[in-house]
Amino acid sequence: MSWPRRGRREQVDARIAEEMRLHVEMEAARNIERGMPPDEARRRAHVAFGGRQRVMEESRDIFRARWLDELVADTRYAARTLARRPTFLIVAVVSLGLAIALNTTMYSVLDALINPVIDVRRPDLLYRLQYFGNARKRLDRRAIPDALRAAGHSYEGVSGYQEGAPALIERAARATAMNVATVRPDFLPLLGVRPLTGRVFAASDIYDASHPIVISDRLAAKMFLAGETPLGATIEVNGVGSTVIGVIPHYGEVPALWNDAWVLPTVDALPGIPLNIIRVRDGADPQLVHNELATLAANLAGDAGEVKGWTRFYMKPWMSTQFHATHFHYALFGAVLAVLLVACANLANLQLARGLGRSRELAMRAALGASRGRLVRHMLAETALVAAGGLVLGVVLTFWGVHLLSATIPDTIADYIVKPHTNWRVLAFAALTAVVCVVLVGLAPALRVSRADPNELLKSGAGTGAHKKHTRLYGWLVIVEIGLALAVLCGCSALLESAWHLSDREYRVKALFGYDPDPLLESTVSLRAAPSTRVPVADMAADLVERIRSVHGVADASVHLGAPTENRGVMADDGHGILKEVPAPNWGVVLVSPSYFTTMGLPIIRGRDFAPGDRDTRNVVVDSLTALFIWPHQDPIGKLIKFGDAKAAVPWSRVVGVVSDHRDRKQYPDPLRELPGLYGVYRVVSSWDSVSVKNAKGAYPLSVTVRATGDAAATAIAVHHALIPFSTGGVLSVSTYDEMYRISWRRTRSEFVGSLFSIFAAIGIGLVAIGVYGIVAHSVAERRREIGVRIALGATSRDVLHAILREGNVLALAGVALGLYLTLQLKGNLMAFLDDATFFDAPLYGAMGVLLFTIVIIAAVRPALQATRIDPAESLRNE
Amino acid sequence: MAAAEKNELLQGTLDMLVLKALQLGAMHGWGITERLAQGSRDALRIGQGSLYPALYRLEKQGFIDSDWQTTENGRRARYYALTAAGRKRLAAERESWRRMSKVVELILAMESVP
Repeated sequence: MSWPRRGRREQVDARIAEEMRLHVEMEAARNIERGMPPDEARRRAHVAFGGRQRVMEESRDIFRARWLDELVADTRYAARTLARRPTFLIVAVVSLGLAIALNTTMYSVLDALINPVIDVRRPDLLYRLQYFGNARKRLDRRAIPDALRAAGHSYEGVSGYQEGAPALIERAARATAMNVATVRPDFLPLLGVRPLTGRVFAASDIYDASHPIVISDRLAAKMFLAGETPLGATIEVNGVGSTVIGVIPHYGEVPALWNDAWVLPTVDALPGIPLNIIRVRDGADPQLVHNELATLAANLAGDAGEVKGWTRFYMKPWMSTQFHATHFHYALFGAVLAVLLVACANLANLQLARGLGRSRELAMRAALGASRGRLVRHMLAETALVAAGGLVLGVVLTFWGVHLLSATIPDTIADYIVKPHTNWRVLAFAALTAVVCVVLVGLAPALRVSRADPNELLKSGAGTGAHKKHTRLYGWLVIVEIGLALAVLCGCSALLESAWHLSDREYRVKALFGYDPDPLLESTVSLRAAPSTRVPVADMAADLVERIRSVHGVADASVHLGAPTENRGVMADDGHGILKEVPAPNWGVVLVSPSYFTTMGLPIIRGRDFAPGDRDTRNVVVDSLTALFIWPHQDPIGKLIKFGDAKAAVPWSRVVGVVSDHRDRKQYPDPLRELPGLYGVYRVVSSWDSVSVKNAKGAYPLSVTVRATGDAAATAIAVHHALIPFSTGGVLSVSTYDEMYRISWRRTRSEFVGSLFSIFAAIGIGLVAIGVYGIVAHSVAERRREIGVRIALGATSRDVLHAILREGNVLALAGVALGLYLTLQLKGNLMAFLDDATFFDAPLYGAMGVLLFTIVIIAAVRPALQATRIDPAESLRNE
Repeated sequence: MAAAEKNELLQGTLDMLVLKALQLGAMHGWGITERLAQGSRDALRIGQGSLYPALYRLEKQGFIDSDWQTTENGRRARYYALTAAGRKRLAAERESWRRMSKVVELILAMESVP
């Protein structure tokens, strides 16, 4: 039969209409045959047929009724069956609802990351413009901008900005360091960003002596109180008073808008600001834009007298920063997916157990003529009802979860995991999850159960259909459930342990850094110096250190910079004239102030620390790892080393001390075999050391380490302030070690993700407990008669308990093994959050395994105890 | 209510007649009305349109089957044919109709008791 199965109305209508038309035509043809005039024949045919509309309606109803009726019948039947087992219904709906809510909430986070809400006019028409070739050097500075502006038929405009550099921003008692970008006056209007308050730049602002500045909402929140208006206020940017004219939103994913303040260049500096953004006209063919730019480039090359083809423009979409899923997202999604799978496995198990118990009922219905398809549909309808309930609950919980999550995401990691929002995609995802659940949960058990041969089942009388094969299937499901729950639990414990490690000062010092990072600051500064090839650095460094030491809140300061060396090799002398060449491709010497190790808080473990007298000597201090590598099992004090091969005329240096190593042990587990690729030899910066000064931007940036007496963050602001006169406007940044190594950030993240995981783990374990309880209770019910016989034959409670639990033990152990295996497989994703010491914490995972095993056994014990109370007489009578 | 009952009775009868008409071989809708008209010597006048819902219902119940075929005039037409279930159904209906008509006849033939 070729019935249109789904209500494809058009198809049905077409068929009915065609049959009716044919009927009337045939009737008319017969009437003509009988001698009627054609018009009359047709009229009579229509009359004989009767009301077409009524026939059509009636026919349609018949087509529609078939599947609709069955659906209604199936659903009613399923609802009745479910209502008979309210406990199952509640457990099923709640567990699915929770799992769907978890997945949907996590999806809402991802959705917010993938589809950020950005208030920028038509970002799809924005392109990053790149220019290649050297016509710029040969032409007037304004030639290219003018040409680009004049040419645009296919594009709306061209502008540009200079990427931001950290600057010290101060207002009254408040100060912070944030990235400030320099933009052309027409940049923000062209970008099409809508100001939250005030306005963006206008062309005339470049002549405004009050230094107009546009700031981000993030910066405004830091610098102004809730009631204050930033508009018209003056803030200092690296000491320059600037007037706030507008506030725009900070978008971490939009180039240029990821800065926190935007200023204009001086009129003289304007041509130096690159032209790097182009807005294409709406509807313009991108090819047309390319062609126009190619013509322009050819003309420019011609004007510059250049060989054709050198000058080129390239365009890339402005918003090219696509979302990339990180380990963070994989880990979170993996965990909630595991919870969903646990919930599904659980339900499948319960369904299967119920289905097997109902085998006789199903067999009876099959014998009475229900097709296998119908039986499968019945069971699917049951699952679908449960899933629908789960979906409703899940959506309600999602709204609540999204709300809760938005409120609890720590501000510090807000860039990483943005505040979620609900939209149609999120709801569609929830629905999709529910459908997947129906398929995962309903289909396999339904097919399996319905496959049972009715004859066999009916013949076997008291049989319940619990064949070995079925038992095996739900055994597997229990193993998977336990395994997934354990993996989530281990992940949770590892994360919380890592958060605890990071908050433990002693652990930080001993296991992670080798020194205490809390009071330390690191600054990078391009020193002001006259452009020339090389500039002596020792006096500049000493001045700088003196200046920083005088800043309030600074305990000590020192400078360090890597010295460029001719390092085709490193020669070591063991002190008795025996030379050895050590290949060391990445080696050089680190030039430091004499106070470097005390500033860092690195202990000297042999020999002595530098003293002021070490300036202009060749004394070096090596770190313990380097010492071990070059002079294994020897005392390095007094040994000689030079940076150059045997023939190189480089002076020898003498080792006077060994400092505790603070390099990443994760990377160099065996210093005797593997070469530490980092600098590990320190010398005091001396009068012959120099740095290159390329241009007016200043000297090669110096690194400054500062030890604060109190609050490092507050001291960072003060140090930044003190450094401004030394800097040339090139690189200048001051950050605490906490910021640099993101210690608090990592701790917050581990805590946050760890608490999320603990929720997942709790739900997963709860589900596992319910599942195991259900399976064992079911198994006890199945084996009632067998147990009754055993007890009648003299089995003690102990024996019965053993018999029931033995099976469970094997499953639980297998599940724990699978869970530990999965945990190891998750290594890659979790390693992003953890250090080695945390990750390979076997005792911790062992403890979690034991914990879960105990919970599983406890869940199994209650129904098993009930089995021992079976009255043999009663159980036999019931058969 | 009475009208509905009457319809139902007619419907049942119509179903049987359609099955009977198809016993002679597969036929399209118009052909079935023709067969019924010939068989009743034009005494039976059903609204031709009401044939179609009956056909669809019978098809849904699995008593007849349908397929697109070509008439002798080269027209595409939906042909209906009896299924095995349909043949059984026809036999059963026919039997019950005979019994029923006999009973009705007996009742109508009752003579009034003085």
